[in-house]
Amino acid sequence: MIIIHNGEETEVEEGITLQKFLRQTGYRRVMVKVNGVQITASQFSSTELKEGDEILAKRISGGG
Amino acid sequence: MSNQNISRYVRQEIFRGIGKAGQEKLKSARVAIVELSAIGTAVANNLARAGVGYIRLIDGDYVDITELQRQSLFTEEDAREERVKAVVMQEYLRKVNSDVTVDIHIASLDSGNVDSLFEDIDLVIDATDSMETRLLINEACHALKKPWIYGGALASSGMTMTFLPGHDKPCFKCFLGDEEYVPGEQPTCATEGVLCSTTSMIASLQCAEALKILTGSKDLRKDLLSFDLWDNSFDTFVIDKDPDCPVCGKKEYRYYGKISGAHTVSMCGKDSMQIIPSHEGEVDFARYADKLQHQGTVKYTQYTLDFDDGDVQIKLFKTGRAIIKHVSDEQRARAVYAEYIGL
Repeated sequence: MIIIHNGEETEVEEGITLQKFLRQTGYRRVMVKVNGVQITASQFSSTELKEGDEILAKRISGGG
Repeated sequence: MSNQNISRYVRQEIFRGIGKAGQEKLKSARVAIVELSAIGTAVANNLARAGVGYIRLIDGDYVDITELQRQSLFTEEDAREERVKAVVMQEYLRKVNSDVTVDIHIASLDSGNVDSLFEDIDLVIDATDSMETRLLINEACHALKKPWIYGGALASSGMTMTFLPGHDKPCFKCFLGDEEYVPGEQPTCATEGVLCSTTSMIASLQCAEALKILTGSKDLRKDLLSFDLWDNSFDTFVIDKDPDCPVCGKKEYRYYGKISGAHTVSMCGKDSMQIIPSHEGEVDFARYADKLQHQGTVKYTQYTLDFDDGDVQIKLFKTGRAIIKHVSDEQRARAVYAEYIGL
């Protein structure tokens, strides 16, 4: 199925959890919104992604 | 009315959020800025012009040509002469606003000096590019009950959040979660680049929050603000307090209060390593110059000593801290320090 990850169409497996998607994409510390709603880290494993979901994932900015 | 009778801060005094009473509070306020990065230089300039009465600049670096693209107020001459950033900024800010006391500390923030640098301060501004330093700021500000403002920038994206003391408030570690910081894991400005627009934006957001805190405003931003200037996106994220947070939940500090031995730090954007001795002292440059003059070129100022033998290049600071240039290997940097300065 196709989801939108930070504005880019991305193909992922059906029924993938947010946690698995984030790990596969290489994120560690990250803040996430799915379809505009913030998902906390404790909810990552129980959040199942659906076709067309819009994922906004933001890494922590470390530079100065 | 003559110009002499008009307050230089009139535009802030007529602003509803500050007023004359707020301006008086700014005059007696004390702020520490951790590192004169692109963010730090912009914050220092902004707060000095705003009339913040006391500004402490904490930075142990010198001006580099690659920083002029984004680090306000430094010049080509400063880079050519590799002038000490804190000294250049102090001179500049004194010309900008002679009402402001600009105190400089020419060293990196560490667990050994953080108490003395923060304890008489009302607010700490994070302008560091080091996550370890940021974690130390978080722990120290929690222990000392000081507010601080996080600011980070990378490429075209930035983040900022205000952290206040209080048992019901989240800290930066709540925001990081339980994952440990791993040096070298994160992208840096040296690998991803950074726009001056991004760092200026973060500095402006931090300064607005600083003015609110220092004037006692209740209108502080509570959430983390994240933006990307290239993608035209602005988002806020709620950061909840983590009751199991090792810092604000359990007071288990990993950086604050720890005494570290001599350590080595790579420098963001510079092909150099920094050696920080376990005990800072007062280096006698004249004696060192005499000792090293037969091995290469030595020149020194009030603040730094430069040594170059055609292979090894060292910039030594008064406290004993040194930057070993054109070295990216930690062991090599320590060996050079041990050979020429002594560990």
